[in-house]
Amino acid sequence: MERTIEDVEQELKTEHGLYLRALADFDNYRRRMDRERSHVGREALRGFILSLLDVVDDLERLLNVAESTPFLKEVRMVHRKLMDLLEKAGVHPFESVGKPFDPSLHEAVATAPAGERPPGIVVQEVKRGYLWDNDLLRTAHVVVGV
Amino acid sequence: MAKSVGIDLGTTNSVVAVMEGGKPTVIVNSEGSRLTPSVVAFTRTGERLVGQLAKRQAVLNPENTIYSAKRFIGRRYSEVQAEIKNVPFKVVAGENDAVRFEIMGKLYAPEEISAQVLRKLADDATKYLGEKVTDAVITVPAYFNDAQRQATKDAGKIAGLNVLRIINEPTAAALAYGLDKKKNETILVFDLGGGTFDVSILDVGDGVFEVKATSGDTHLGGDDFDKRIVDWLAEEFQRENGIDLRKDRQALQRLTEAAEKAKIELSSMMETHISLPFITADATGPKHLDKNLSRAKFDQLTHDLVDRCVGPVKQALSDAKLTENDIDEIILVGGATRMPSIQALVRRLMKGKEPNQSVNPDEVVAVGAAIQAGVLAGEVKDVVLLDVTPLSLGLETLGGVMTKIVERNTTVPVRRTEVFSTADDNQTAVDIHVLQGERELARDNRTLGHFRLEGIRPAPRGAPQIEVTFDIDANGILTVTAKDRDTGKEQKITISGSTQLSKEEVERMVRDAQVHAEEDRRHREEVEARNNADAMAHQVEKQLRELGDRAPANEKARAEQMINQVRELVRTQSTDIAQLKQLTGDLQQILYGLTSAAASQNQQTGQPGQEEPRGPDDVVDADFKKAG
Repeated sequence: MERTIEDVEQELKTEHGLYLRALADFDNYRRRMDRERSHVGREALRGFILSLLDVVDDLERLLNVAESTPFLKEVRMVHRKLMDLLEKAGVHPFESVGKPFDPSLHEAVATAPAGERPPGIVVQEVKRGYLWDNDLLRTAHVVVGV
Repeated sequence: MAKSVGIDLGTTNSVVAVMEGGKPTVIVNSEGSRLTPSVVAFTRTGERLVGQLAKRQAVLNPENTIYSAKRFIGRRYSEVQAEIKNVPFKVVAGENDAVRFEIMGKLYAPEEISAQVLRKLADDATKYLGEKVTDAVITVPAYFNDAQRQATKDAGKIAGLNVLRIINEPTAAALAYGLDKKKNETILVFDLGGGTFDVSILDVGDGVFEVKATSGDTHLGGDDFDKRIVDWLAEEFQRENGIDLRKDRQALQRLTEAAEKAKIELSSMMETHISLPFITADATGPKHLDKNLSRAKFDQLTHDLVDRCVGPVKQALSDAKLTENDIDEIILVGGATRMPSIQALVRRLMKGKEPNQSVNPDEVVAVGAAIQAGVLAGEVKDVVLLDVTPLSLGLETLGGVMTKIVERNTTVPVRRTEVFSTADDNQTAVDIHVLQGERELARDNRTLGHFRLEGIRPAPRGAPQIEVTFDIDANGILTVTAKDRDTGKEQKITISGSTQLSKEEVERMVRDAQVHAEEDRRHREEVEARNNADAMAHQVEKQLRELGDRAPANEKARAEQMINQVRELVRTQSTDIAQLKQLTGDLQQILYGLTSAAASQNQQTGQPGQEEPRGPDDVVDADFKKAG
């Protein structure tokens, strides 16, 4: 088969295009890595905040049963302080009860009779959900009406 | 250029990885996780959920949530009787004794379910890379027979992937450690995952792997170890308090989470503290669980599980007619191999030889598959200097905002594709207004060109799928292509010199964007609030129309009043974001009520559901502005 210089030039051009794309790939990768590196600190903080929320959960369990104890007011103060701290870091709880079940926010742990409400509505919150600067930080664990 | 990825399609979780700059990288999915649960759910509203989202709703919808599809793929119905007993969804016999899942009256093959998982992984990879993923290497267990391999390949095909090759999981793990370069070695791969245990013995020579023997236990994994901790905690608690926590769903949930955490901690610490205050209550008041668990105690609780790993290893050696002295390399795969007791067992069985474990054991199979995909796709060698786009490129979408397709400072050549749709019912043409700049609103950016794609078949708004591709070659020549997926009609424009702006001009445009950032952001929010309100009004209107007289009169009147209010706000370009959001929320509530009213009426009358089927997950990121 005859190969003209034009054929070879065309082939070379195609190959060179592929080659440049591969390099561009790498450059874009490097840039994304740089960007991700700046998120690393945030990711580390995420783990810490999540474990802190476990403690917040425990404190809220205490609040739920502390109605008649003499230190209720003081425990509330400590809880408030903790929540303010989280709030300042951009961590906010979100409401789930009465909202339609949404798997992008909720994790269903059980079902219960829906009663008056239409099915598919969250009837109970077992674990509160949290957002961090509008991104999901922790799903809410919920009981859903059926 | 299309990318090829490596996919570890697991029983419990799947992982996708890609070669970038000659190095394998595990891809983070759209939920921000490196592992994607191999779970697919079909909801009552006709939605299909894949991965983490499917898993989160499993409790609500167990009969329509399919997991462990890998245990069924490519097998005969008569072979999977034992597996069927372990799952809450319906498994039936199809033609020729094929396994089928029955979901809401429809039959699905296991490969169709696996295809959904593959599709999600490929889509997330596409999003992550900014480049279309079309080719994949998929891994399967070494013991998979031809039918199972073929079915896995078919799953890839159904997912729209070009399956470059199906490779064995242990082979992929060996590739991840570069063992293909070894001459005549024998490798033992010890893979203890969440729910399955596989042992494989491979021979490698001249880059070719041969499986000598496989063995394992299809129902042994890390989850069994968690359960031992749960049982221990519950029994101790019962002995002290007389209450069985396993009977209390919420308490069990907390126990299970705490057990997994404790197991992970015990891989790096000698003792862990498990504290679950207010775990339950009785007449005497609240009860707390507070326990220390030492690694020694954990090993004692789980020693029989560890012992169950011994048999398969010995079996594989004897099937391969080898002894532990013939093994040159050992590779640990699966998260459960992080447990010190498992590592000690492997060392003991292999006469003190050190296993390879520098690659994350959850990801090593996907990493190896990515390397294989990279090899099949060709490699990158040298480095030259490349241009970047000085300013972002994008197009105008509904409400006059600029939607960026290629961000500034992206290295060229580059190709990015996004799918858009129409803003109005029966819209037959879309105007593509190509923009350059950093401002949020189209009018503040530089126009590079205009063109129009016509001949879209009349359809409800949001239904047509218009694929818009920005391709910049190494010379900075930009080609924008719009393609209607339905008709295949295509229109394009080529713009040269989009990267050849003077430095001063670029700096001015970037500075402008910074100065106006706050005001631009507000404008954009206003536009988005109006678009959202308008879309919601449209949906409610549609639902009302479908329901006809069956819509409750009071709801209908309220809805119509709110729809009119939205239309007026949109017409007058209202900037009252709060009011728009309030109306959107209220309309959503109404829509929800109407939908469930429709559903319950349908149940009563036995009519088919009227919910609109949702399209594929990757559409409608933004709406085009109205054409003409």
